[in-house]
Amino acid sequence: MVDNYRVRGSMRFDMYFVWRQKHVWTAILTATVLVACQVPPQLPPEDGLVLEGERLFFNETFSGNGRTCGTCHRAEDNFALSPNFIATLPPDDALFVAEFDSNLANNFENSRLIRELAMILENQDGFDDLATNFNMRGIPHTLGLRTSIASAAGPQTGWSGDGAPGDGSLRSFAVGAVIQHFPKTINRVAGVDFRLPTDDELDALEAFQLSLGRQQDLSLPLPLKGTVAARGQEIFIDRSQGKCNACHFNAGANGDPTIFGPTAGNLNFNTGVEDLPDQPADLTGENVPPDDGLGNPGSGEFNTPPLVEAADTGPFFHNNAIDTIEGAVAFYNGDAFNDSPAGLLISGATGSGINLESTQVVAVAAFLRVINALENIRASDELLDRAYRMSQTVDRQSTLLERAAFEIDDSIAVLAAANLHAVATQHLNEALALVQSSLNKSGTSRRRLVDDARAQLTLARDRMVES
Amino acid sequence: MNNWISRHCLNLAVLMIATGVANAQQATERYIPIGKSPGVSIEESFIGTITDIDYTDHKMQITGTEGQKTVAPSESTRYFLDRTKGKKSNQIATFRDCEVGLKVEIKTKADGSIDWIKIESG
Repeated sequence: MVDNYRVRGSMRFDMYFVWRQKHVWTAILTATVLVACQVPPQLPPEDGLVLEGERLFFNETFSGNGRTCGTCHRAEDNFALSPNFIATLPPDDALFVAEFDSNLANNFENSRLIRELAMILENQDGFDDLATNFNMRGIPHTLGLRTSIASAAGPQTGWSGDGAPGDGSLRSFAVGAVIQHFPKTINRVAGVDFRLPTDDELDALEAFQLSLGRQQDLSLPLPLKGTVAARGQEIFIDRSQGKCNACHFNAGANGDPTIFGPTAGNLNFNTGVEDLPDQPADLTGENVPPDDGLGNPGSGEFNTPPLVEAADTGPFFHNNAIDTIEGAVAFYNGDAFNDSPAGLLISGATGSGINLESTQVVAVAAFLRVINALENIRASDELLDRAYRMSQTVDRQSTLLERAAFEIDDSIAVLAAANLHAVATQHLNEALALVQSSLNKSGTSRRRLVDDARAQLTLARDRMVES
Repeated sequence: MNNWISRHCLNLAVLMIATGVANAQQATERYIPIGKSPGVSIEESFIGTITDIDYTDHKMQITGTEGQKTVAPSESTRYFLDRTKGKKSNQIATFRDCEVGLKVEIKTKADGSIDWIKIESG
């Protein structure tokens, strides 16, 4: 009996143990599910074509002189290139290939203009007289291309809208870039001095470039909280004051559809930038031929760049003529613009040219700074989100975190340079510190820092614009 | 005033678009070998061999996989000498460089006129 009791008791104990174990496991499972429910759902992996395009963009030299697309379109520098960033590069960077490769010593680049003014040599009017037939141009960023290159006349690539061979598309742009900027010698023989990108590579490069930056235009007016920026937005839109919105509709790169028609898209204008006196490149005394813009012979026209990304991607205009966003806005007050074909059209249509007082110039620039910072915040938040919800490897996660840090850093610089949104800037500084710290952590510690950084970004944004 | 702006800007836009189509230059096209022009070769161009040429009337007959075509270049047609096979730099050419027996690629514009002709050369 005792034995029986013992057996029964033992069985009861075992059953109790099993029962308890079951419940413990159920509890653990329930807790896990609850925790899992709080984790944002996993997004699909990053687009393979875009990732391949990114690899090609930054690593593929196409058997040329060592340059890649990323040599001039730096992720760290908003996919553009500025003199300050160039100053940080080592002497053997492929950007300076003309300095250390004797095959490219003549008529390929102007070393002084690259280093001092971030200007690259282009032969858009042909390659027959390399010593005299060339132009020096800045490097446009490749952000927001999905919203800025379509036009009724076809795709507009490069500064004058005619940057691509073949069908003139963004997909074909890479072929022209390889021939212009990547060759081992200026003979530019395909298969000897470079290899042409394959169709698959062109598809991937196009997909990557289209994935960069904004995927849609803003819808102005925004409910901005900053007094000066809000006033700047009014001036920007007002057809009797700034008149900016006519050609930079919603601060993008397209013409106002109510003026230019619903399919106008990106337009070319001769705004007289070439007529500016004292252009930095001219002041150097280097040989800088006049740039005639679209076509050969040129029409003097250049295409309209998007303004959302402007404030942190100077110098401005095709010839890097002006360094600050305030200076770029003030350009439209001057004779060079008001006497230009575009300026005369504006004055003919509205009864006056553009004539803003200095406070108004600063207000428009403040507006451009704020929308630039808001785009930086949007982009950095998206990068942080992607880092956690889409990346397949720790390295990839770190790359995205680093890019997010560049964006946050830009937003701070853009606001701080004009004393805009001091409290938002504090939140951005905090966000930047958190992202930078996260790069040295892993697992949940990293995750927590990134979540905190995103919260700081939200606080910064909320200081700048109504939700 | 808005209508005024609209009318003038629209005129300008139409002018700009027309100008863009007419003048759009693609200088690097010269260095792209026959059959390799992105988005153009095959889709928008015709590759064949020159079977007859009339230097006086500025016409030539091309025979390719799509059959025979008579081509009449205009004054604005650009010519490129494709010397890639000989590992030499491609050059700007003229109608005079077209010869019977040479392989050519011909790109037409939307209006049917000839944009450029690439002529294969050793």
